[in-house]
Amino acid sequence: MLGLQFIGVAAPRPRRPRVLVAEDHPLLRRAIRVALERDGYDVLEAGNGLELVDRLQETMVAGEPAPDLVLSDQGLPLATGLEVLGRLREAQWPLPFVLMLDGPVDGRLEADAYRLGARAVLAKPFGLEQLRATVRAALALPAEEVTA
Amino acid sequence: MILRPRPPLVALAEPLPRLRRALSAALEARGCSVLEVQDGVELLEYLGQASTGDEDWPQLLVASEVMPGLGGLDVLSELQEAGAARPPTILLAARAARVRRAARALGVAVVLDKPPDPASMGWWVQRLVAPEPVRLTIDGW
Repeated sequence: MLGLQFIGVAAPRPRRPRVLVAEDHPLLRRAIRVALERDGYDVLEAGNGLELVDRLQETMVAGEPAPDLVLSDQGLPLATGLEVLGRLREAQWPLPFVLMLDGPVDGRLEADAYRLGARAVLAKPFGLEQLRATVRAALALPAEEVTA
Repeated sequence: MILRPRPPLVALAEPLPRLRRALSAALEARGCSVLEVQDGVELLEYLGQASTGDEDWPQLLVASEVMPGLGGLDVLSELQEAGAARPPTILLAARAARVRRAARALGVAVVLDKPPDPASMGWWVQRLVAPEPVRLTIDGW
């Protein structure tokens, strides 16, 4: 359904880490974008699961660097975060992925996320520090080391 | 079982800790529940969570014009661009007259000189925060 195909182009890592934020609530998406941009990340946005897949394909087709991290809500319209993560893994694309869950965390969804290789599961509502720490950890960046 | 009105929630964004504490105490003395943040990015993040229903949406914003990251007007611009509702807002500015036009364009109810006169701010808080007769909390449940 999602038609995701990893064509194996190894893009050079950008100077500023790129995070693709997939969240269907526009204000929360905007808030995450603003917070991450202030911390020195490049941020791409998607408002539903198919848009998330489209963004990934667009970067490949355009020969742009792929995102370094996907930060995706589970409850996205059209395709859930886990469905997209499953497709990424089927396409053997080891893109770091953080799944945001509406709290309290559903243990089954959390287990599925980790089984599919998610780097972290972030329960909503989360604070800025928690968001920053999770993104840094998922990108394996040292604390406070993102270059603006 | 006691039924009582839920206190109105005010989101207070002020980077100066002493002023923030003083404003918070003044708002609480007016019967408000206060959510304190120290800059505009934190405020926007809170409002983002509130827009999903994960946090309570504030009935009033009290925000400084100048803050690290995003100022009060920047936050209102972000809300506008996201198509989100904007709570009634009291903007605090060092030179209030200078920003009134921009503030009015973004729907700010009033711009007060910073630090605000307590009586003036109290009057505006009373005027902007409507009581919530429908939302009730039940003690002991």
